[in-house]
Amino acid sequence: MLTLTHVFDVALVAYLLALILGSVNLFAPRRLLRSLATAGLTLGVVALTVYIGWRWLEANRAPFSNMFESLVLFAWTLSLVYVVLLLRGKIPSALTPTTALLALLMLVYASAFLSSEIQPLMPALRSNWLTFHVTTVLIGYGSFAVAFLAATGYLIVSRAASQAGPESRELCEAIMSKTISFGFLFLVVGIAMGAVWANVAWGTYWSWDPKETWSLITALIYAVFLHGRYLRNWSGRRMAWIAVIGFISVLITYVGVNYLMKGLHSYAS
Amino acid sequence: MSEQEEQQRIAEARGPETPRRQPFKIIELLASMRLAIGLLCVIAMACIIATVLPQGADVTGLLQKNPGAHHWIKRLEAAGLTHVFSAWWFIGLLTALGASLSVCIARRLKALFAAGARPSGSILVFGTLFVHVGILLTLLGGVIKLFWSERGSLQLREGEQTAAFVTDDNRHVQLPYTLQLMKFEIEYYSTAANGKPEETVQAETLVLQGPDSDAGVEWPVEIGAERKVTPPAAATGSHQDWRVTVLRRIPDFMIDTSTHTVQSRSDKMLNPAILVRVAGNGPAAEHWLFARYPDFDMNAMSGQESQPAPFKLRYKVLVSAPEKQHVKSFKSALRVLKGDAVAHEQTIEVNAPMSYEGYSFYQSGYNEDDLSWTALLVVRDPSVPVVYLGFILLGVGAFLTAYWRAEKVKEDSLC
Repeated sequence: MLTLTHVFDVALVAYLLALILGSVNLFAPRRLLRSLATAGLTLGVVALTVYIGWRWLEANRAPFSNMFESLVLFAWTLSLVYVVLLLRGKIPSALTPTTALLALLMLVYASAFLSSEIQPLMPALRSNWLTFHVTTVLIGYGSFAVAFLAATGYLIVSRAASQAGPESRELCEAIMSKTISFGFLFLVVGIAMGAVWANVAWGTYWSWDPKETWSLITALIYAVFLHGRYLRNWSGRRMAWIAVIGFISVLITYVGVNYLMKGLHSYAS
Repeated sequence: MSEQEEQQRIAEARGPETPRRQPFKIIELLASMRLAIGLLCVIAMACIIATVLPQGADVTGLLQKNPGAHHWIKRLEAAGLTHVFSAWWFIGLLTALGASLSVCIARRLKALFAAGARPSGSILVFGTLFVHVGILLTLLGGVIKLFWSERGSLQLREGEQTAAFVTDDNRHVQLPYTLQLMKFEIEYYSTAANGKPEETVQAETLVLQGPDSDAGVEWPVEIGAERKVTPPAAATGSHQDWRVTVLRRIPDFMIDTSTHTVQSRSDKMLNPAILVRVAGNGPAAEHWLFARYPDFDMNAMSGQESQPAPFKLRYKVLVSAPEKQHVKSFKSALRVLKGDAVAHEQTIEVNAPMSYEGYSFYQSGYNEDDLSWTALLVVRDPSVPVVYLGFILLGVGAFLTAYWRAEKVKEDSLC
């Protein structure tokens, strides 16, 4: 009989296939390989969609309340943003293996080191704001992760004796700009929703809690990126480095703060 | 139209550059993109410092743990790095950001009016304008909160009422009405439903011990079952058998003083006791054994002679730790009184506060050992509507800007 674990395993296998086929395609490009890698990644997204939906029904609440559930959601948003861009022809398939690898790392870490048991929600988390806040913020993080992959791609391509040429660099720049614009929208809306929820739950919309502060730092870094890109015409490696620094800030906000700093978001660990 | 073209258009609307007087130079500086980007970077750095260095109460704890750190902590304190978010230099940075945003907004509005009712690229113009106004309102909300908000707490028992609360800085604030706690309720996820988790009985045994030993034989407590005891000959001087029978079991022992009969006060194992009959050669004797008071001898209290037996009997009840139950919610039913009249009634819980005439009451805590007691947080914060309006404008503006850029990228076919 099909269980939640089986669906999770399907997602793992699908991402692994996408990683292997996409990597082989990088060195020996074949149309079939590329299509199969895309199909693998798409299957992974579909499997995670089923997993999250099923878990939601089983728990009778949105499954975004602990690190395990959050990592599954992050892997889902990252691969969803990438697959949507890929299927619309907005992003090169060269990023398929790195996207699959990042999603796979999150899922493997979640299943190996974190409890997947469905636990009852503590009173502070029993709110619809949990769903809105976490989903919007993680869609933002997923977009920033794609921008990060494009930025590292750009930094590698611009270092190499450029057989890839200026088109690849221009493409990477366009992907960074677009995904960061999109991610910034979701990040600021997610932070604002979190602030409204904090006001409902704790009587204050901002407490300079480490997680709040780091989300602000992340937003400021991406604001610098957007102002530099669109108003000062920044481009090239400077832009790529800001996208990399921005994603490091995302990781500190998302993981680092939970383990290294005490705060109101401690339950997230 | 690209954003740079849009900026160009704003510059044209301002007119030709002419030598500026000092105030205009300051405005030029505030309008500069270089300053804006610099401010964003410096504020981000300040925030990083605040999360890395010990702040506020952490400093006291750190000094207690490590008195040797006193010297460098004093230096950090002098530089305002141990209370970054309330330091003059950090508030100065936020003020500069607010000033920069204000100038930017004023210039965009000027350009907007210069371009007429519907300028080209209006989605981007309104998008960025909304984002900047949203951030400015949020900063303004922060100022209002700093100077005009009140935050404190109060505790009430069921039935109690109060018309004042104590703020975090120990001021007594009078409420414009009286607040009364009608009822406090706690709800658990477990099927055991409401109430405090209870201990569960795992085993009840009758323990037979030697006269000088705590070790002994254990039998399960069974009403009516007769146990035969053969003490060693050395203890009795004979091979006489004794018989021990459990006659009654009372979970919560009490004596009804009117009828002088033994009864159970409740079904809970609050004062468990068993009545045993011990029979040897002579007449049988009956004893009450108490699990919680093993040395208490009721026969001795009543002056009855107990037949001496060459062994001791104990009643042992093994209880499991209370099953860990997860709290689902805790709620306080509140009543607002004006004079003797009831003006408002509402049940609050975490994530569902009560707001009434400027004050909001949040469910903040309870006492596990006294479930008739509740702790409430009281907040009066006039900045909330301003900040919420800021959030709405920020969200709408960010959406319009991202939408415009997506469309623009589509037009340019960059991908």
